[in-house]
Amino acid sequence: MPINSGLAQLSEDLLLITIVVYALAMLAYACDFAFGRQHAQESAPAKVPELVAAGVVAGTAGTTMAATATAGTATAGTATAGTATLGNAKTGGADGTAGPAGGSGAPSPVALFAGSAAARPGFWVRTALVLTVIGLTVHIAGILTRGLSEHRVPWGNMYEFVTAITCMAVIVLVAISLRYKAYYIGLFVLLPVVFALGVAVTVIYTPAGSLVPALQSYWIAIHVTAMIIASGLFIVGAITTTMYLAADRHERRVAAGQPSKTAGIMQHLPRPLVLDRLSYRTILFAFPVWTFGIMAGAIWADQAWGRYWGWDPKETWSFITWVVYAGFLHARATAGWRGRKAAYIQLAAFSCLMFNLIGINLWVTGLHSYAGLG
Amino acid sequence: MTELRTPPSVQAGPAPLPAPGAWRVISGWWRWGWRQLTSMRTALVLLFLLAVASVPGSVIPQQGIDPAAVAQYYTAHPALAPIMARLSLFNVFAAPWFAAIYLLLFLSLAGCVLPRTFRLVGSARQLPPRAPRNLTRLPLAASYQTALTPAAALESAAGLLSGKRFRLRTGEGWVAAEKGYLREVGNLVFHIALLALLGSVAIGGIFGYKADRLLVSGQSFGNTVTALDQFRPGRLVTPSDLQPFSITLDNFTAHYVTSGSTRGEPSSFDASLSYSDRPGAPEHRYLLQVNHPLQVDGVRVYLIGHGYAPVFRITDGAGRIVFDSPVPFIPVEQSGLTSEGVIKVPDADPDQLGFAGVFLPTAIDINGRLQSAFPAALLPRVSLVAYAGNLGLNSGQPQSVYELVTTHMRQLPIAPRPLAPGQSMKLPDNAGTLTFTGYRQWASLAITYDPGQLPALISGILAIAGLLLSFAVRRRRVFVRAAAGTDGTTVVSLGGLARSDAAGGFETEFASLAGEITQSHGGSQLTGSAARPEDGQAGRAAAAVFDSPVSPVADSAADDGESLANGEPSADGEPSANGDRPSAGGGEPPASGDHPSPETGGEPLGRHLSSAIGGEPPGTRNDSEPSLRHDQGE
Amino acid sequence: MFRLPRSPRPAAHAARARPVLHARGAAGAALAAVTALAVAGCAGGPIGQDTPASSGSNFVAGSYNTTVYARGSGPVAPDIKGTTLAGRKLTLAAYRGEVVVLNFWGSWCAPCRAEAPVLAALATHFWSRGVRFIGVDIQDSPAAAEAFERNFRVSYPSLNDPGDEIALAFQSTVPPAGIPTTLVIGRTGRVAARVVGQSTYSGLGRLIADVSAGKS
Repeated sequence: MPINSGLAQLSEDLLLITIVVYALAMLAYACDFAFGRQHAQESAPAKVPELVAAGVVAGTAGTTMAATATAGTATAGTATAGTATLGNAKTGGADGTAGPAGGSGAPSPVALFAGSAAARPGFWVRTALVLTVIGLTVHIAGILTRGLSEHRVPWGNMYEFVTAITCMAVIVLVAISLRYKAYYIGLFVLLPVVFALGVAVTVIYTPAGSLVPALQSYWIAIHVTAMIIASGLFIVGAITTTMYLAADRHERRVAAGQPSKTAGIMQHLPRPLVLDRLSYRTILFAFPVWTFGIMAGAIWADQAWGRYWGWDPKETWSFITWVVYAGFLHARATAGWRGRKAAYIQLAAFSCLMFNLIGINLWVTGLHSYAGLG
Repeated sequence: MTELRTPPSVQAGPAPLPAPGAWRVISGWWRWGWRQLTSMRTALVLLFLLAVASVPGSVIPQQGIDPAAVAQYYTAHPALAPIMARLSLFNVFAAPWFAAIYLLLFLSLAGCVLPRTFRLVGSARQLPPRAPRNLTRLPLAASYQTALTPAAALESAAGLLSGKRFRLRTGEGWVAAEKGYLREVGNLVFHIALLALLGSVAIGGIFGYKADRLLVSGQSFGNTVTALDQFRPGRLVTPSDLQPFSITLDNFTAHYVTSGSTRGEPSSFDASLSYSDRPGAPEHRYLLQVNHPLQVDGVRVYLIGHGYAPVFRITDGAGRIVFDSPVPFIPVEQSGLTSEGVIKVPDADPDQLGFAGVFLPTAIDINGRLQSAFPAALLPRVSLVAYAGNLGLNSGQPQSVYELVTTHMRQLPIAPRPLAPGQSMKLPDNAGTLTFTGYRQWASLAITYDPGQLPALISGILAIAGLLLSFAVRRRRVFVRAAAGTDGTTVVSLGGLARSDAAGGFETEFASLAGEITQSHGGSQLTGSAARPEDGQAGRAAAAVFDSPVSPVADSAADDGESLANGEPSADGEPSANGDRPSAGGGEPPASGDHPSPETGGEPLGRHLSSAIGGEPPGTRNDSEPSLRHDQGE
Repeated sequence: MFRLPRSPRPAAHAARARPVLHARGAAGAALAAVTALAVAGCAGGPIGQDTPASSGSNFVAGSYNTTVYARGSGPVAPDIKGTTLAGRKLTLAAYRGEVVVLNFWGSWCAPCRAEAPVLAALATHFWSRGVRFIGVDIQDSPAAAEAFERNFRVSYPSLNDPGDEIALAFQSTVPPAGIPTTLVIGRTGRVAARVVGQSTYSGLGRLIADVSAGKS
């Protein structure tokens, strides 16, 4: 079937619009950092009586349980009275501003990850979110139209991969923002996304076309989709880990009394532990998907090339990426390797992923060289 | 047990002890070595080594993937290449050092996982530990008052928890509940599936084989060693093991994109085959395409490549036809499918003849040079150089059929000119005539027999299932204590503890559980703490929970070789000494590990907390990550 | 309980070692099995002389080896039917009572060309003793095969086998494990010997002499 060039052109235009909208969203996130309410956390963790029975404060009877058990059902800044605890506290709101204070049953995992804006996202955050969602919609439309114009699943070359992976990363961003209210990662995720999309539409752009026979299989919808999903998740994980490392460094410097250049931004971020946990959760989702993607790729390779594993460079680097992420998961279980060291391992694994995506497609030839370039 | 109960006779005095026999020394070292090998740290190191070792296999040309590139490497680096070959750098994944890494890794893995599996099976009915005395020290806790009697409160709490499929244990004034055993199951299934995957690969390597065969359209072959171009058998495969099917390539067609930006790229390949399972069996037809292999008698046949085979008829000096067949030419570039080939005529009179040249499917003159502009055979031309002399075949030294050895041949003085189908080339000195009679196409097939393929697939599926299970399920414990309070009401306290919950999430569940229990008791006046995990002494000790490992093999069951005895109080809170087994217990099966023992008031967790309650600082700060000293025995 | 001095581990575990050792013993055994399998499988490669590996010359040349069966114990040769290059029909069954030397060859195959004079000479030499040579021409075109026969003055007929049916017929018994392969079939129709690779006059000659004399 011939390529529908009208739709192909539409796809290009939509992606350009996407970049613009994401850039505006980034601006809004930055404005939130600049003008929005600061995070309740001071640099040095102060001991504020923890809100324990926040439900009590909120005045509900019986169903006070809602607030109790979770870590800090404090609305930001309300160092609430209520019954003091047995001694331990951390700044309220540090990482737990559950949306509804009390009365609504179990707090969501928001309690774990939410940042300062969680309770009532400010104007800038809301604007940024709206813009991000709009941008994501346009992004998805761009990918859809591309696929429709080619009459196939639109991941067949480097340009299409980058488009799809960045889309997935933004989907993850939106999901995390909505579910965990962790708005603070917005700027940091959109930055590389915009950059990557910019490179995609300029430098590595490939016109719409059909697939070589080796790729004409329903497996492309399974194997490549899984890899795209996993890559998007890994990207967000890596960004969050980088944020964790920066926050951790800031915290240590502050604790040691040294000046820290990033104090301004750090005021908008939750404690390092929260970032670490968020990143970890992302990897927990991504790792099985990546494993499945490798398996699906092996099954497809067996169908197409006669062997399910041949140490083709892309296969090898997917395996290396898998192994290093597995090392990361094992490191988190080994005392002395958790925290920063594990974060470095995750970043190493992420570089393997990036090499797998970029380096192998562009520079190393093998059976997988479908970049569509050169 | 914390003390050795030595019999009185030995207690008498420091008697001279016998020197250890050689066996004890060896076995002692063996145990030490085994413990090192199966430790988490070794697994980490081996994992990274494996990743690093795979890198050269992807950037250095590999013999099995691209032999031509390897040959090029040799010419480009004549001094370095032989050294690299010595180190197996051109065949990394079959190198002994690479095998050593993954074998050690799997050894380490199996040595950890298999004992844990036995332990898990043994402890399938194990009960939760006793409730600690002071529930407020747990990372999540709450308490409230209720008008019910303690017994009634406990009963209703137990009912609720058991309704949520917690495993219960009751005692005097307390209820302990635990859930999430499937996590360990998932964990072990994943790792055992990896072992099984390795085994499947090995089975395929031993009992399977791979072969290649190039077929010109119209040709047929039977699956015998003599008919295969390449044969790579497994260790235990003999020629009689080959399944005796035969295949005929009736026709091969390739379609190309004729317009647009991808003009010239192939759009589909169709190889029409007839095949039969064994000699004499009825013939079936099959359309072989990429991504649609043929299955015959348990063997899979794949379409791997294609090209052109021009047909030549050659008469020798005596006028007899000495050659009349298609000759497969191998493509040297993809965009126009320019192909090169060689014709050998060893039985020509008076001299053996040889020809080498190119076939151009769509020959266009560009700047004086003939090039192929499109891969379909729209304007086929062939251009050959002729040789006469000694091909070197009669000596018995095998030659590649695609290579012409011209050391003992002289080139015949004919200017090569492109021949169209039907045209001839007359050789000088009455050496003969070559006629390009037409062309056919060829398809190359890969034949694979891999008995380990299905087991590998099943292992992979099990691995993913185990992985998902171990990530999704958390092992957690909930405790309820009810005691009569001061003013006639009953004080009910709840406590919750999650192992391996570094990603968080148990708070939610605990909160909802506590809410339900409270509501069912009509409780009021909530007090209690949900201690911030990272703060305070007890909190810090329990903080370990939030930094607990989630990773599969990680959290828990002590390695059987673990040296820390059960009762050593230093187990609590101490930075994990060998770092690897974050478990406090000794090596016994979990049943004994969670065995209440009078000294410690319960089980390792109780021990853990009792030291915290006793006020000792739970250990030094260890790069801001409290180490996890948890009980073993999942 | 007594302490084990200088053991790397405290003696507290001495008594507990046993259940652990069972688990470890079983683990070790399973491991050994897996490792052995893995080493064997992953290292690949032919074992025994029977299995030729690809020699990189785009056909599978057999490495030289000879298999001889004790008298009367060799597998029965399948009944072969075919058309010779000259166009005549030929069946193996018709040669019962005679020793048949079945040689798989191709005009393109270098070792076959090297042994062709040997085969021609042996065919003549043993004719009087009731030994008949039959060739099986594989992967070849008739024109080239006939040119080969002319060139080497091959006096015995060769079956044309483009579809490898004859080789397939021997697959389960004594397959031709490379090119050239020479089978010596006794008077009772049982395969007496197989030579994979280029034959020598003395070697093959001795084999044929033994078989025709009924010694094997």
